[in-house]
Amino acid sequence: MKRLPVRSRDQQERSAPRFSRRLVLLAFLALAGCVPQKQWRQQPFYAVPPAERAKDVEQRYVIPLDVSGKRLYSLAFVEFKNNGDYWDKRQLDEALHAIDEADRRSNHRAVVVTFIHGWKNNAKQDNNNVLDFRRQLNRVAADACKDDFEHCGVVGVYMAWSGDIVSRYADTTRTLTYFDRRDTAIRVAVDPIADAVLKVMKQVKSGAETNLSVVVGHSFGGLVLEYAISRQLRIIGDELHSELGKSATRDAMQLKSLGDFADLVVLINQAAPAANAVTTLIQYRGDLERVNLLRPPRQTSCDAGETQDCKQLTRPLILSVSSETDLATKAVLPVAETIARPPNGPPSPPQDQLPEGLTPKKVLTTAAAHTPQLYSHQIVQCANGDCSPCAKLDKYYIPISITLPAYAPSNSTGSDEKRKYCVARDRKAWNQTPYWIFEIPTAIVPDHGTIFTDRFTDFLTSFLPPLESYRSSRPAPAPLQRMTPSRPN
Amino acid sequence: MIRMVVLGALAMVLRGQSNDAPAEPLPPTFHCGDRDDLPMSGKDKTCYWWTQSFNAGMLFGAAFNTALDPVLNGSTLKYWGQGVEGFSKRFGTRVTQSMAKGTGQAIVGAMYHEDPRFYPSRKEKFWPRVGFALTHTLIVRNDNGHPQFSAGRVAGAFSSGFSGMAWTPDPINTTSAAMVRVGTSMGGVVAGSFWKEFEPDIMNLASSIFRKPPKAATKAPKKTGDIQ
Repeated sequence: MKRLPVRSRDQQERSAPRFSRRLVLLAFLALAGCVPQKQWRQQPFYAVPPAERAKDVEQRYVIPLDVSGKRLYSLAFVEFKNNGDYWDKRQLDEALHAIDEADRRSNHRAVVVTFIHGWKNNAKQDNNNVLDFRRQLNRVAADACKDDFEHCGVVGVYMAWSGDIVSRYADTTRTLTYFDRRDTAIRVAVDPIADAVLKVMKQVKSGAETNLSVVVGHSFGGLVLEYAISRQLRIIGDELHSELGKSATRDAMQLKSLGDFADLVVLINQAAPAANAVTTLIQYRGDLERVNLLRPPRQTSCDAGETQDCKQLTRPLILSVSSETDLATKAVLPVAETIARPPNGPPSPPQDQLPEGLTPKKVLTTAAAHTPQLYSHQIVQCANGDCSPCAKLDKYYIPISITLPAYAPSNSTGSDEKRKYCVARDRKAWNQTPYWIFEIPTAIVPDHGTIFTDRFTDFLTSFLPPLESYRSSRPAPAPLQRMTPSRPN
Repeated sequence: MIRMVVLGALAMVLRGQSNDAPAEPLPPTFHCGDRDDLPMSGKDKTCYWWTQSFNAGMLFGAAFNTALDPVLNGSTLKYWGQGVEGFSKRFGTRVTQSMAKGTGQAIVGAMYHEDPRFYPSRKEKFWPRVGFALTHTLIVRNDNGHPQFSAGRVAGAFSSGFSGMAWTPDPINTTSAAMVRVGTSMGGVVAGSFWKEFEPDIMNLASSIFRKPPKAATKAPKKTGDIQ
């Protein structure tokens, strides 16, 4: 047997520091790929006198409206630790303060958009979700507050958790954090983020019911949001059941629990199996199908012919949509959920309660917006920009116009391309409730991560009253949360 | 000259006036190639080069191919032997070639303002998609979104093929061997183009194993489509 040469003590002593240097280098490289788990916005805004406020607005809990700096909105950050606790509870207080201020400033025409981000994101100053959200807030504000930016009531509330723990420069390692971040998202979702989401919703409506409240959850943020609102949804469902039991002939009803809720909850590319959605639908489908929520007409004076803009259209309370080319939730999620279900994940309802074609296994592994058996609507591209054939599918279809940017791969025209779609209810669907679920085309959302774009904002605002009705100079918009009896197609 | 400057300034003023929504001065989106709908800045391209050239997938691939080398391609076996030393040399060669490919592509691609990413055709029929994947092995978009010949990918393949000449043992260090490596490298580019085109189908097929409904299931409701 060949013997290994014995290293002298001198050699060993010389190689020891070299080895530890390598170890230090390796440790440094590994750490260089880590994203710090910290509170990114650390300076109070309202709680300190103006003279003592941090000069760098990017450090503040609230970034205020600044018309001279072309910032037409205010933005509040509420950040959560990995265990779900607030980094600093004062962030929520300041967010609620910002909403109040916007309500007063806009004369009860505040537009509050709350966003819970997903995997690979956080509240860092240069985070893409933060920057893209801000761009879209400015766009919404430019529309909602045209000619009166000083009184603009557009507020963003960015709810952040540690969705990103590995730098994007180490992308493979970053991808391996899927299960860890999913379980963190579930942990964060319980309390107090649920509490914060509901407080924000309530604050918007406590100013006036004319204020508009939209809450968006993306990817694991959609999972967080769904968990966060589940208790309130049960309360709404129970109150609706009780109200419907009292009288079935009323023209409209207003639920107290719905009065404190958001006007629209959006789950976009939600990285969660359909179990929660299916459970909610099974429990309250019977009652929810008996009522509608309506979007007011976009045009008030309609002389010739009844176009969609002249009609009161049905609108969703919860909109769960995923891109048809979102491979993360369409292809990867079923595999990941099969390999390792979250420890405290919701159970599937029994087979006999599920719609035809759906199995408990599928409920536990597939996202709602990729489960055709749960679809309430379909989105259809209008050939040559003419959406009138959509009326054959649904008299109260929602028209959508977007502009596909020239650089998008789906655009073969070489310049910005206008496209029209209609969202039509599927009258044969198992799900006929205000919990709308369907897949959306690549042109609107191209993949898992690209969400805050002009076209997605145009898509979302199609489900809301026209933004110009939130201008302080206009008559106050009608409150949205009244339920009316369901109408025939 | 003066007229051009005046016209240019006038165009800028008019463009400024036509934009109703004031844009808040925010840093540009740094997307590292993730955003298909946005062109890539220099920073994005650098990040893309780094993440594509130095990643765990590349290292595992290099290690896997190196392990297969003695079986499939034993040309270096005689000179570098087997065991840890031979494996290290072959593995180092693979990694270096991969880095040379990415770096060559990035440098030449930057010179020609190429967007290095593959992009899918969004066509529906099989053969047009195959044709697109094949042709777009050597066609990329430029920074304005227009298609152009990809000098970067060709340069990357040649960098990969010829970089090994610096240390390959003399008897097998020939131009024809380097050209074979160039061809292999181009094969990788073709595979990348096909993967981008058919990735959704392959991924959906793979995941369908996990979400397949039972045979008795009824037909799903209609999906997104055109109304004619």
